[in-house]
Amino acid sequence: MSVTVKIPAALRAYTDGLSDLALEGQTVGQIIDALVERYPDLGPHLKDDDGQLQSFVNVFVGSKNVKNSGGILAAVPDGETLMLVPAIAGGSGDN
Amino acid sequence: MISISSECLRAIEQDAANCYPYECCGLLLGFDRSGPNSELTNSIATATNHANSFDITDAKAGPTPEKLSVRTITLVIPAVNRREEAIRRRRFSIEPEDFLKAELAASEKNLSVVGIYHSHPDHQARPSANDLAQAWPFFSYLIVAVDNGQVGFPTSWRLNDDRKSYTQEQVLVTPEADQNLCPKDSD
Ligand SMILES: [Zn+2]
Repeated sequence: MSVTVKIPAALRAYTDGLSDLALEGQTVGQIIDALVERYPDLGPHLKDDDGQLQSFVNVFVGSKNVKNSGGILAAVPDGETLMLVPAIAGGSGDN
Repeated sequence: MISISSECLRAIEQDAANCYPYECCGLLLGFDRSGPNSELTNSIATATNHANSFDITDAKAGPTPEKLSVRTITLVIPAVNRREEAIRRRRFSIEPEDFLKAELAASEKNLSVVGIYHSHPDHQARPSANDLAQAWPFFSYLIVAVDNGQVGFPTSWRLNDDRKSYTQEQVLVTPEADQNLCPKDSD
């Protein structure tokens, strides 16, 4: 069994154009690691220098954003869909 | 290069003016016509340069030709700036749920989300360090400065793979008749 990972259009240049991938893992963190292992160029866009999920990346398991319910430790049941969704932010202030 | 109809640009200018002195933000829907260095990209860039130097009447173009793909914006969806009021003059944020809604609207119209716009109230139209730290690859980041309520001409930027710099892209404003309409979105 595995998990279906949905890649947003903005990142498909790094996944050979694929929008859906089947990956193994039991938590969000394990699945992100498996994804980065397969496509290393994705790494800097998903994880920061400390290996944490970038603040501008949201992960939905099914229809639920895991940000406030476990983050990378959130469980992902077999057969579930994990979706990467942009959190778009910025502004003119530099700090 | 990013090509935007004057009607879509007006929608952005209106949003920027209405939100001033706060930052506005929204999504740019359209299509990405070609990969980098395609013949089409180069021929359009050349044609634009030519038009830019000589008889430019309806089209306005930004400063730099480049070898990025050509994008056409046909729909602008203003988003709610979710940052708290105290910092909304200098920050913006679009919630993932709002992004997903826009993506759905795009796919129903056979379009994609190809960029983001936001304003810099009383600040230059260049990406800040804060913009850079949170930037996504692929998207065009269109920025308009709003100087004392006056909205300036946009600049547009795409994040480089190193996540440390951008490539500035040319902004071409086309007459409405050339483009699909940019209907007002009810959201
Ligand atoms: Zn900005």
